[in-house]
Amino acid sequence: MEKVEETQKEIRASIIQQVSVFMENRPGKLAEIMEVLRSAKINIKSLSIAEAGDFGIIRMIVGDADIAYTTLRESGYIVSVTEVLVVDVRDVSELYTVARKLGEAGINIEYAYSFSDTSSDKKTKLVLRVKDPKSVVEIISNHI
Amino acid sequence: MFWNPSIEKMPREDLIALQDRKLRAVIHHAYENSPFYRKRFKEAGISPWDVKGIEDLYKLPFTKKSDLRDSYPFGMFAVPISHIVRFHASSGTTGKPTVVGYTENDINAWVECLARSLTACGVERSDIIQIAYGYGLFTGGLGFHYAAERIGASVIPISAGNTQRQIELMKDLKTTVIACTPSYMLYLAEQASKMEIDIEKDTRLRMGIFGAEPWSEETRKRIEDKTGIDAYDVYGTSELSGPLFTECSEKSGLHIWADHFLIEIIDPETGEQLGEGEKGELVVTTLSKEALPLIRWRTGDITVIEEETCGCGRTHPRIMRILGRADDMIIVRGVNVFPSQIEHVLMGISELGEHYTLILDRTEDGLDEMTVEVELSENTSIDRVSDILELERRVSEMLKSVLNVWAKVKVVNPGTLQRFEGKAKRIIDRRRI
Repeated sequence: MEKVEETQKEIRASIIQQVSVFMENRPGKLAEIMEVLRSAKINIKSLSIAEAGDFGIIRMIVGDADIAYTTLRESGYIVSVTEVLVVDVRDVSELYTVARKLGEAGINIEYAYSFSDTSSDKKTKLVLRVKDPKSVVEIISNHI
Repeated sequence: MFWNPSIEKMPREDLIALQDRKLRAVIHHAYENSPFYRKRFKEAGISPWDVKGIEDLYKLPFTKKSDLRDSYPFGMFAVPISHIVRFHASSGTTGKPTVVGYTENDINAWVECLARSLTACGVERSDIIQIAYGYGLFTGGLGFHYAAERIGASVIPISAGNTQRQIELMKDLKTTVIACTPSYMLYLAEQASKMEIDIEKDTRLRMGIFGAEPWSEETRKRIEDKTGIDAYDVYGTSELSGPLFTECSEKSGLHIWADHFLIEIIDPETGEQLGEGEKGELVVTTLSKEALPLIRWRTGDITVIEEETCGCGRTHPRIMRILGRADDMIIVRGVNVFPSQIEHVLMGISELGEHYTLILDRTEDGLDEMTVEVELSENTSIDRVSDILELERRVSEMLKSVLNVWAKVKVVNPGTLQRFEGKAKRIIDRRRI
């Protein structure tokens, strides 16, 4: 384990399009959706599934959200594109800083998941769903 | 406006005295002249003298569609065929066809009833009425034709179909009233806009009288919003004559002309009479028909009776919009549920599509469980689990308030539920009784 340090460096936050798909919670459903994306040559950077009994919602960060949206819609899926916040975090102390800032600003995190974008830097990308992502970008980017 | 004000506004006691008298007469007529009814009454151990008035109605056996079918073609007729001036017939989709016959008086009473109804919903001498119900063996076209002529309106007897010509004539002849099925009206409106004709702006159409298939308040709203006309409901079945009763301008139920027809509401399961305001099967006894009198005819249609004098001043009872067919009724936890009620709730929710399945289960402790699976509308936008849970809860609560029984709601992807032609197959009953 690396030693965790407090950091004063700027934390980068940006807004990204997330694609959500409604799906019944049954074996084979994910494969069907992946087949649609595979045929359209859409790459997935990150995927998470939230489940609630009979159904689930797949959330994805993909190469091209517009094409993914159109392709899935045409295949008969309930799809929506949502703007979410992506924050680059290097370690737990940066994650702590982000979470603390949001807490102090009274901003609720509706859901979150993370992925590592191997193509860019070594940092972990943290996806956050918040009410007004644009205003939150500023809160996070501000020095303490 | 009234067609026959002294009858239409007759005090309730006089109306009931008239019904008592006419009921005694029709029972004697049926017993003496219809071989079917003579046999039926004897089997039930009833003499026509046992019926003194409408309070004795419950003693009489019901007449069902199957009786008419089994006595095809003339077994139930109560006059010699030489007295018949017209026949109508229904196609026998579920077996043998049924035939109804009319004497001259029967036709006159039918025309009188519909003339009163048309006047009550606002059709006048000055109107130009386009009759787009089928003419022929079906009662819709000719029924409207003679009633509209009787009140002095100008009739366009175009019959059903030929949509482009319907729209052209509507425009050129300045049609003000149309009579057709509600689904055909929606189709007409759609085709008109393809021909770049706006029914609201480019025609004089001001009202429509729609029936011959069950429809809903939501459909009324759709027709009215789309075309700018007033949409009225009409009810009648070929066995009772044909189209007979419409809403009046209050749009609050259909007036049943009590001097010609006696109505009851029964529990379709037990056959017991239900009270005013209770939902059940409509049972009609014809009080004037000569050729084919019907005693306690089970219409199979589910509705509610409203006895109170209407805002329009008519004293005759009303029935509410037909809720569905008794054959489709299911019983869940002792409560009567009609798929059409569920359909109306679902149609009113924009996030949902039109396809649904109703699943019934019985738990180990013997309780019924109802699940409604419904497809999401393709335009729904969903990102959070709570969006779905909230939607399911909202639909569940709306169903509870309409059905009086709790239903679990499960939304599914569009296109995943099986498509059916009829309504009945949407129900999967897995209960072991």
